[in-house]
Order: sequence, then C-alpha cells, then structure tokens
Amino acid sequence: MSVLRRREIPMALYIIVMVYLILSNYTGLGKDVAANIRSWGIAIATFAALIGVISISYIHLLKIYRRRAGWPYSIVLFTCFIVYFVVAHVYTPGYNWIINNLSIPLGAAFLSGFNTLGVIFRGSRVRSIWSLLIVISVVFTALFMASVGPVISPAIVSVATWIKDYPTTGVFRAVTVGIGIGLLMLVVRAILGMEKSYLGEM
Amino acid sequence: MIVAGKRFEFILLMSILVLIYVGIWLARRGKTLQMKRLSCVDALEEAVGRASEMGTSVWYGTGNAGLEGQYATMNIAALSILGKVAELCGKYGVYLQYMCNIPHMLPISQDLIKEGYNKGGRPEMYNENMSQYVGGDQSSLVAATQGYILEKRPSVVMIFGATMYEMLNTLAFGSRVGAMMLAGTPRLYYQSATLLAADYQLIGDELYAAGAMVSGDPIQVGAIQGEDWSKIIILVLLVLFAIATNLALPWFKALTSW
Repeated sequence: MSVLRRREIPMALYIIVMVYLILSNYTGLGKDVAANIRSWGIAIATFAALIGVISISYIHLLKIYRRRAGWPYSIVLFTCFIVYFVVAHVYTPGYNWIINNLSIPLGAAFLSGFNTLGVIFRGSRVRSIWSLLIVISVVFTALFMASVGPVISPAIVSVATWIKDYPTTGVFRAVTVGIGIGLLMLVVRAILGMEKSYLGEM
Repeated sequence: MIVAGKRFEFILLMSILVLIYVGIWLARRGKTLQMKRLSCVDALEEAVGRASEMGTSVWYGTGNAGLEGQYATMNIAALSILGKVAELCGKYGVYLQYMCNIPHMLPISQDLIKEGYNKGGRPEMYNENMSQYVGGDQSSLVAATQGYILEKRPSVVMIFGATMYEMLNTLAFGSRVGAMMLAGTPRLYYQSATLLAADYQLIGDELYAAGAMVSGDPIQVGAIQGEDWSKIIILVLLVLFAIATNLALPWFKALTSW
C-alpha cells in the first residue's frame, strides 16, 4: 500500500482539523485559519465534482456504446447533461428558464403531488393509539396550514397552535439534544480511530 | 483562555467527551452494561435475507449530502451501516445498489462495498457499478432513485444519513413497489417522513448509535453507554435550569453567561 493510501495520514488530518476547529471556537485563537479551513472543505468538494463528471460520462457512454439495456435513456441523460452544462456556461437566462420552468415544477409536482400524499396515506393507517394521535395531529395541522381551518372553526387554530408550540417543540428539543450528544460520541470514536468509514474502511 | 460566555458550554462539552471515553474504557475491561437493541439494526440481516429469498436487489442511499460541514457526521454513521449492509449482501449473495449525488461519496462507497463483499465471502460479486454517481443535483438523485426502484423493483430500500426531501421521494416509491424500508436521519424535519413511511426507523441520534452497533465491536458499543450517561446529565441540568429560570435565580444566568 502506498504512503498516500495509508489510513494514518487521512485519519491524522481529520483528527487534527477537528480538534483545531473545536478549540478555535472556544478559545477564539486562530479564528482566521479556522475560517480558511472551512472554505477549503467547500473548495475540495467543488474539485471533487470532476470525479462525478468523469463517472457519469464513463458509465453512460459505455452503456450507449455497448447497447446495454436502457441505453436510449442514457442518450437522453447525457444529452440533458451536455445541454445543461453548455447553457449554464454560455447563456445564463436559458439555464434559469430550464431550472424555473422545468426542473422546479417537476420536482414540486413529484414531491407534493405524488410522494407526500403517498407517504401520508401509508403512514395514516391507524394501527395503534399512537398512529391515531399522529393522524389527529396531522388533520389539525393540515387544516391550520391550509388557512381554511379558521373558517371552519377557530378551535382548529387553538388546537393546532398548541400542538405546534408544546408537543412538537418538546420532541424537537429532545431530538436535538440527542443528536448533539450522538455527534460527540461519533467524534470520540473518530479521535480514537474506531470510526473509519469516511476512509472507505469498515 | 476560554472565551467568556462559552466556559460553561466548554465544560459541559468536555464532561460529555470524558463520559463517552469512560464508557469505551469500561467496555475495554469487559464492563459493558446490558443495553437496548435497536430494532432497525437487528432488521438489517432480516432485510437482506428477504432480498436474497426474493432474488432482488437492495437499494441504499445516503441522501443529498457528503462529508463536509454539519452533515459530515451523519453520513459517516450512514457509511458505517453501508459497510455492514454490503457485508450482509456478500454473505447472502444479494446485489447492492448505492446511489449518490455527491462526487466524493463515490470512491468511499466503492471501497466500503468492495470490503463488505470481501468480508461477506463473495468478492467476485462486487462490481464498480454497485456505487453510482447520478449527477450533482438533488433532483437528479431523486430521479435516478425513482427510476431504479420502478425498473428493478428492489425488495429492500434503505436510506440513512443527512437526508433531505429525497428521503420522502425514495420511501414513497419504495412503498409503491412493496419494498421493505429502513430509514433514519438525525435531521429534524424528516423525522416525520421516516416514522410514517419506513418499516424500521432510526430516530434522531439512534443513527450514530447504529453506526457503532453495526461494527459488532463491544468496545464501540461502550461509547453508547457513555452517551446515555451524558443524556442523564443533560436531563438533570434541564430540570435544574427550568426550576432556576422559573424562580429567577441569579446563578443560572451567571452560569450560562460565564
């Protein structure tokens, strides 16, 4: 295994940067360097986009060349990819038009029109007292959010506001505390070298 | 040395880190307490076994985020689970399909899946296309996922990590083809989708705990023990601070702004 592939180097980088950022946040020392490190992350992620472009080109061009199952879809995908790429760099208003008039409406239609309803129907089958509570909460919150609630009855607003302000806030805070501590557990495991999945190792 | 206003927070952070380390230290000495199993982690093998019996694939996703910023830790935990799922797929001879829209997740997932199939005893089953980059946009990930689910009809759909609206879309399509679904994210606004649609869920911080549990290493599980002790401390502090706030006790404000 080459020196560059050895696990110790990326692990050391990960741990040093993580500890430095934590200490910088609490001591105020080296704040500029910490800000720079955070922007490196964005820069590296942008550079890594190149890997993605190579991957998508390799997989779909090979599929078209070898006439594998579904190859016409690869032509559509690759053409769209080229069109998006060229239009984005040559004619920005055209790119914005594609995003605003094709991409966003299609995404919204799928998300709200099909999938949210699908999930609600699946989840709203009352199988226990807890499911019943969820369904009741959903009904009140949906009516309240749809603004038709106050027209039907002012009580809907009171009940929905109570659900939003008390049980929901309580649960959100509990989950947030749990998430924070869970995150620290992962940090400790990473510092001790137990967590290696980010290196592609089990 | 520590910035004013952050001293109490820093002490609390250090206390939690120490408690988690103590949990690991005790586990190294064989003193791990009995703890609750996560049904979602236990169901991983059942799910892959189901795919094996039905002769279909397993679809796995980590959502629209990579290993940078606030979402890094969530996806590190999700990658740990991916490694375990790949190992199970190797053991049962099941095809695993992973999809991502973050470029740097591609080589990492390829290495993990390859190692998983090696560990599972079927290295010959692995191929690089098991991990696919589907474009850098969230919608492209959703489209690719939905296309795969409708075309290949996997009997198991798993989505863990820093997921966003693609989780809802994935679970809706998984539901459409009757797949068994396992999902979990610490992201607050997607807890409801997980609870409503998935058969097995990891709620909030359970994802991090699952990351340690799937390793099968009792020492890593010791970290969860430390996490539970930290939660007890937080609960005690919550009660104390609630009392102090309501009684307008001066030490409370002094402590938090120390």
